[in-house]
Order: sequence, then structure tokens, then C-alpha cells
Amino acid sequence: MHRGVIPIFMMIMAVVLVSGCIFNSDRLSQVPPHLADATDALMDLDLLEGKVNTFTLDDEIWMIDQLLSEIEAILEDDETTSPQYDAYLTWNNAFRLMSQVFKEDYMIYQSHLRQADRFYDDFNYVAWRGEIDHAKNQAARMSEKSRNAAYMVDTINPEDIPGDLQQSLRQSRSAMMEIARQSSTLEDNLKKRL
Amino acid sequence: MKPVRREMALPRSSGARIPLYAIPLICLLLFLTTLAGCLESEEMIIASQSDGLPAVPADDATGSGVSAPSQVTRVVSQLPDENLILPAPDKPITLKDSNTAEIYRWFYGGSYYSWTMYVPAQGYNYFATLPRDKPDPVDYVMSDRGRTELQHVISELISHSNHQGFSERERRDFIIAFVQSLPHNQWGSVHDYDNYPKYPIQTLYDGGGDSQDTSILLTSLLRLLGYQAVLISTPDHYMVGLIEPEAYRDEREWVVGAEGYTVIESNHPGYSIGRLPTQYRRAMAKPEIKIPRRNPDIDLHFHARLIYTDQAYAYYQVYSTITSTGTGPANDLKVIFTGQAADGGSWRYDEMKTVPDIPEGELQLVEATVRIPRNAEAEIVCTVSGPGIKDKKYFSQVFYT
Repeated sequence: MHRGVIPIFMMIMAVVLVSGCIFNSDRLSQVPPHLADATDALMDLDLLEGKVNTFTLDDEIWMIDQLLSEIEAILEDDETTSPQYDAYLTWNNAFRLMSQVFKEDYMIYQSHLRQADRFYDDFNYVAWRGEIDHAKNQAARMSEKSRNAAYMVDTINPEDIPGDLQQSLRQSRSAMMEIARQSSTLEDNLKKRL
Repeated sequence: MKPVRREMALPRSSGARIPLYAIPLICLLLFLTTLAGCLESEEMIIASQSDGLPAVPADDATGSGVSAPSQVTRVVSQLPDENLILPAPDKPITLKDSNTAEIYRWFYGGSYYSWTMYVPAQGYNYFATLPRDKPDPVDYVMSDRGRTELQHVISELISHSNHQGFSERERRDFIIAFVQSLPHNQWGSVHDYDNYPKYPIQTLYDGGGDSQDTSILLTSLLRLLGYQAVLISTPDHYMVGLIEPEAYRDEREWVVGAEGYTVIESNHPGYSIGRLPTQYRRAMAKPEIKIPRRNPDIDLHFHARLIYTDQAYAYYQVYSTITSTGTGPANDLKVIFTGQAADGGSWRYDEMKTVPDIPEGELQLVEATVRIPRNAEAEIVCTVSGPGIKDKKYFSQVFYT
């Protein structure tokens, strides 16, 4: 082998490795705008006003997922990007939990209420009460899940995320706690009906 | 040549001379007289200058709504419903002036039970004065009137039976025994009900009633418990029916109807499910099964008032009050206010209004403007329709425009 080949090969290797790091940090830098948009989408949701369409939030969660999974594929023991990656992952998981609250739990809650209405029309107090009770428990679950999401966001070390995301982090947590409060209001309203 | 004004041009029959300037003055006087005559004959008043409406005829002295063909009717009244005769209690109900508490005792499964019921005077008087405007006694079973109170009662009885550790069937029988043992149940005679059905909660406030009242109450309570209970009527006695599993049905003494309803006595204490007092066995030859359902109905009252006229039309504002008299709320109602010819003419004017949902026993005001051609003999018809309500028509008196 020609002696000059080795340094060239080493250089190529170095370029490849450096470009990997650049690629990682480049990908990570694409996540914050989606986290901010997901925060905005979450803040637009409202259980009491019936604003429960999670299309935008789900879209952002999916985008973040894509970016994080791409990073995960090439990520090794990179000390500088790991905490940031973990923070984004936790945050996105919290968003996913919130999306579940609206998409699944709230739908179950609504179906119990519809069933309760049918029993009310049928003059069946026992079954009506049972359905209202189920809906009440579902609201309590929604409240608990929202609080858990907020606690997940709490575990994120603010130092692990860029400064311009700090406000979004606070807003996310506040929106999750607000949805927990709204769920509790739904629960209280049902308690009054019983 | 200078023109000469000659007074010879005017007649001189009176011997007096009329100056030329008097002619326009006379014309003006004649015009004013004519105008005053018109105003007097039409009895015009200026209506609502602020909203710019044209003149309308003045109110007639009586406001009776019927006037001679030459006059415009100002107030139009609804024709009274001559067929409407609401049932009244045999004896007038004495209203309460203070709240009371009634203690109800009953025997079930070898033990005596008691329960104290709070009877608010206001609630008692409300039901005592409510008109019995539902077409059939079965329509009182699933009524929303007093439903909250009744749910409270069933909730108390459920917790009472839970406390005793009763099974679901025992709980049902426990509640049957409770209704059968109400202190003022009027059992004993062969024909034991009047034509004055009581609301379920009213029977509880009264501490009982005839077999029709207690059957309505028991059917209500069983329905609230989740049983598909029905009312069984005979010419002499009312009972409750329930479809049971076949294994139980075979053991029962009285099972009626093609579906196999087990008969439940509601008025006599001590009769278990499927048993019946001897005096009603003959009446059981023709039992009629009445399935309770939410049966929305409405009643409408209206009057109309002339608000506006022009050369071609008279405009009447119709003020209607719709009361939800059926069982359950009256939803998705539509009212068509029609002005139509009463003298065989072919003209017709419709104005449609949608009505917000009306809970049972409550009322809703609906207004509309109806246009009627001038110099016509007309009537206003209000037609109400909605789910379960088929084109109910209410007519006005014939009036003139």
C-alpha cells in the first residue's frame, strides 16, 4: 500500500466522524421549533370549551419522533448531545401523554356521558348513575395523567435545553397543569349530578 | 288697449259679490275638510314614529277580536278547545301551608322497616295544582316532573337495601313491599281507582293513593332500578308487569300478555310478585299492557295583534306560548304560523319558526309576523310539529282586515 494513502484514509475517517457530530447537532437543532409549536398546540386545547382536536399536536409529536429516531440511529456515546436528546425525548413523551388524554381518555369520557344520556331517556337511574360514575372516574384519570405529564416535564433539567426553549418548557408544564385542572372541573361537575 | 277686469264674469244670483282671492281660500277649505273626513273615517293613528311604521287603525273599544266586516280587527284571539276536559280529583285537595315529615313503615322478609320522608309544602302544592293534561295514565310513569326527588327516594331505598345486604331481586321485592304498604293506599273496593292519575312523587307525598297511583309510582321506581316494568290496566284495577326469566315465571300465579308479564300488586300489602287479591281475578279477563315511554307533547296558546297596515296587507304579530305537557322534553319543535282565507279564498301566508328544546312542564314564547291581504275574512293557524308530535293545529277566530 502506498504510504500516502494512510493519512488520506485517516483524514477521510476524521471528516466522516466530524460530519456525524455535525449531523447530530444539526438534527437536534431542528427539534426546538417543533417543541415550541407542540407547546402552542397544547395551549390551544381546552376540555371545558370542547377544543379537543389534537391534529396539530400529533403532527408535531410525530415530527419530533422522526428527528429523535434519526438521531438515535447514529447516536453513540456522545457526551455533549445525550442530555439534550434525553430532555427532548422526555418532553415529547409528556406531549404524547397529553395527546392520549384528549384522543383516548376524553373520548371514553364522552362515550360514558352519551350512554348516560341514553339511560336517562330510558328512565334507568341505576344504569345512568353507573355511567356518570364511570365518566367521573375517567375525568379523574385524565386529571392524573395530565399531572403526570407535567411532572415528566418537571424532570427536565433546564440547563439541558437551549435558552430560547425555557419559556416553552414553562408554558408546556403550565398547559398540562391547566388541563389537569379542567379535568378536575369535569369530575366535580359530575359529582354534583350524582 | 288696456285690459279691463269685469266683475260681470261672476254670477250674481246671490246679489253678493265674491272677490277673486276667495277661490283659492275655498279650495283650501274644501281640501282640509276632505282630509279631516278621511282621518275621521279611518280612525288613523300614527304608530311608532320612531321605527317609521305606517299608520294602523286605532284599537276598538272592546278589543274583542271580532268586528264587523267593514272594520279591521286589531286583536285576534285563539279559538278555545271545547273538547278539552281535564280530570279533577274526586275530593278537592287541601293545600299545605308548612313542610311536613311522613314516616312510612313496611314489612319485608320477616322484619319491619321505616323511612322518614320530608314533604315540602311547595312541592306538594305544585303537584296538587298541576293540570292532568297527559293523555294516558302511563304517561305519568316516566315524567320528568318530580324526577329528581324520585331519584333521591330510590337512591335512599337502594342504600337502605345495600345496608341490609340484599341481593338485586331482594332489593326489588323490598321496594315493592314499600309501595304496597304506603299508609294511605285505598285498597278494598272492587273498582279502586278514579280518573285522576297522580305523578309518582305526588303519590309518595300523599302517602299513597288508589291502585292507578301506586302502580304508576311502582312502575317508575322499578324503571329507575333498571327493570323494564309496564303498567297493566283493567276496568277495575291497575297493576304493574315485569318480564322475568322463564325459570321464575313458571312459579308465578299470574302472568299475562303474549310477552309473559308477571303481575305485581302495588296497592295491597303482603302480595308477593305474581300474586293478586281475589277480588280482581274477574277483572283480569281483559288486562291491557301499557308500556311507558317518553311521549313528548305540547300545548299552544296564542293571540295576534295588528301592528302594521299598508294598502295591500295587514300585518299581525302572533304571540304564542308553547308548554311542554308531554312526558320528557319537547325537542326540535317547528311552528308554522299561517294566515289563510276563511272565506274560501285561495291565498295563504306561512311563517316558520324553530323552537329551542323545552323541558317537561316548562314553556317557551315564540313570536312571528303574519301578513294578511286587506279586506279579507281570515284566520290564523299555528301548526306545531316535532319528533313524536304530529302537526298539532291551533286556530284563531275568523277576523277581518
